[in-house]
Amino acid sequence: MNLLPLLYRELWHRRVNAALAVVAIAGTVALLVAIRMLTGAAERETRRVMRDIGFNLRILPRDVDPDRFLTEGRSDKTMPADAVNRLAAAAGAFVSFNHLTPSLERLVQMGGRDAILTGLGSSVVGPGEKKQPMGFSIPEGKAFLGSTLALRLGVKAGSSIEVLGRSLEVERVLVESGSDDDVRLFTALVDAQKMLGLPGRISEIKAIDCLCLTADQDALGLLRKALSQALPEAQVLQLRGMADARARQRQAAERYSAFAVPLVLLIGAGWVGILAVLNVRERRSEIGLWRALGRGSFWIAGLVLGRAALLGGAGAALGYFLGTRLALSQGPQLYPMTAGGFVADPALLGWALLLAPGFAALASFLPAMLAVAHDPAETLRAD
Amino acid sequence: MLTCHTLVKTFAARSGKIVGLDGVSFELGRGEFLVIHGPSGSGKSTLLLTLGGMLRPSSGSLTLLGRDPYALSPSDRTRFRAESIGFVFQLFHLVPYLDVRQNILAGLPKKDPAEAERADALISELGLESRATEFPGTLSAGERQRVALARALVKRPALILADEPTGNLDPENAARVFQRLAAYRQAGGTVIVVTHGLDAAPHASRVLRLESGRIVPQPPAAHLL
Ligand SMILES: Nc1ncnc2c1ncn2[C@@H]1O[C@H](COP(=O)(O)OP(=O)(O)OP(=O)(O)O)[C@@H](O)[C@H]1O
Ligand SMILES: [Mg+2]
Repeated sequence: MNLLPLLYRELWHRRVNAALAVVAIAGTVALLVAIRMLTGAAERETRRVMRDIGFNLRILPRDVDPDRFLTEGRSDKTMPADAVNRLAAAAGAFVSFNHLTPSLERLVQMGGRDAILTGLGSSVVGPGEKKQPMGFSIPEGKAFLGSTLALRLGVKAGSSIEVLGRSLEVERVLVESGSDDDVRLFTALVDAQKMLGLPGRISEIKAIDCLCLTADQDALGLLRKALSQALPEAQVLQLRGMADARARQRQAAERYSAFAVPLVLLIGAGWVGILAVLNVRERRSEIGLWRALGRGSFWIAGLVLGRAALLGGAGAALGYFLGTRLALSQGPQLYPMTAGGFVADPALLGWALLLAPGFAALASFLPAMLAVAHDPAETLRAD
Repeated sequence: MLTCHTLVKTFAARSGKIVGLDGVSFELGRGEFLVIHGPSGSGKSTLLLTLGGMLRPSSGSLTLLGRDPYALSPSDRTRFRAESIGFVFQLFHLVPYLDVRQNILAGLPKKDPAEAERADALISELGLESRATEFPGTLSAGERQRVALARALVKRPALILADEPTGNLDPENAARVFQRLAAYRQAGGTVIVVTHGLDAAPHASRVLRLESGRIVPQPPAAHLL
């Protein structure tokens, strides 16, 4: 008789032991699938939050006084506009950041009161990134107006405004944000440079953390290093805020899963291994019989390991569906902003079906050796 | 066919060394039916497993079908056993999750239609037709022993080793088993049966008595008992 039908029949005969082993493997796979899906979601959520709240890192001319920058909210010094290209070309710049946007910003008078003029240059994107810059790019001669400022000036999209002797067409009035963006006038970088009489100058470079580093890597430290080589005339300031908290949360999740994954694997392996030992003990006289019938050690080991592999396959399929269900039912509450990003990942099923049988066989390795080493004379003497 | 010379088997036990076989020597020709009897603990099972290549003796020599099974590599010994020796055990040792027919076929190393046919012939010969698809758990002791016997017979081994094959059977079933083994001998097989008593003696070509691991002279008139 071939091994495979024998394995099926034995599993069916000892359904309870088999079911317990499938539950152990399914539980292990389910937890791993859920952990994988949730850490993926945590990363997505962090990216989304970052994008929504804007740039979280600002690279300033070295001679900017940090105290003054923080109280006034902008750099009063400038550096050459090509700084952004130099930084982008430096090794290591895009290791931790994937968007670098040059800008020139000054307080101006509009409608008799203060407004912020911000000229945005086009973003430089990291080599692997194809995505659109996360801010918006503004064509020359056009302006984006904060809502409070538009109200003050009484203008709408399509209107024309005069700023510092230059005429701009209002392309868009931004929705109220409750931040200083509401009193901001966005223009193309070159327009701002011309209006302010600062050709070829920028006041800062804004950057977004690419979230591609692991918990123990220091994104800011890496950028500072790249900066000190490529742009000695600049300094970098990180804005701590919601994004930062999110990043920390993600890193905590990463650390947590780094701890949880081996633990889950260990408990699963222990459970499967113990069940396999019990199974082998129960079958000692059967194993002795197979010996007497002329089956060799490899065949006996195959009896135990093949069984484990079949259980692993069944547990993998079941665990994938359970884990996916778990993630799909709990995930959207945990990560509401990217709830739509929760979808079943069939690749995980593939991995589970590939790895779980091997894992179960590995966990049954000792029991298999136990079976091979079993002395048939012990059970066959049987008086 | 079989020659063993001063076979000794000792076991290490908590109380010290236990002697299972204490210098067993005999010869057996092809077509013989040997009955070895003796009291419990005299070493009958130990001797049978040693002769069957399942238990390496501590010393002494064994030649079976011209070969020393313990001089073979483990895999060669396994193949030798599969091809040449059929075991029948007192406790049957059927595989609980295989039905009667599958249990009989489990004795065959390779799938062979001729052997499957022989299995079916044995099933009807041993009166197991109505049980062929039952599992061992539902069989009576006599039926189980017939299945175990069929499993040993189906591969037509040169030598059948039976360890108290009738220990759990009523006299009627016991007689059936011995008759079948005797028929196998008639067909050219060689049989060794170990038992407590002498029920198998009428079929035997030779009877040996084992006591404390040694072959001892027959008590007078043992054949008449
Ligand atoms: N694996 C073992 N470890 C220790 N002692 C053993 C072992 N196998 C057999 N013995 C001892 O060897 C002696 C012979 O045992 P064996 O099973 O061969 O007796 P037996 O003649 O078959 O007895 P029974 O008629 O009760 O089946 C006994 O004293 C037994 O305790
Ligand atoms: Mg015995």
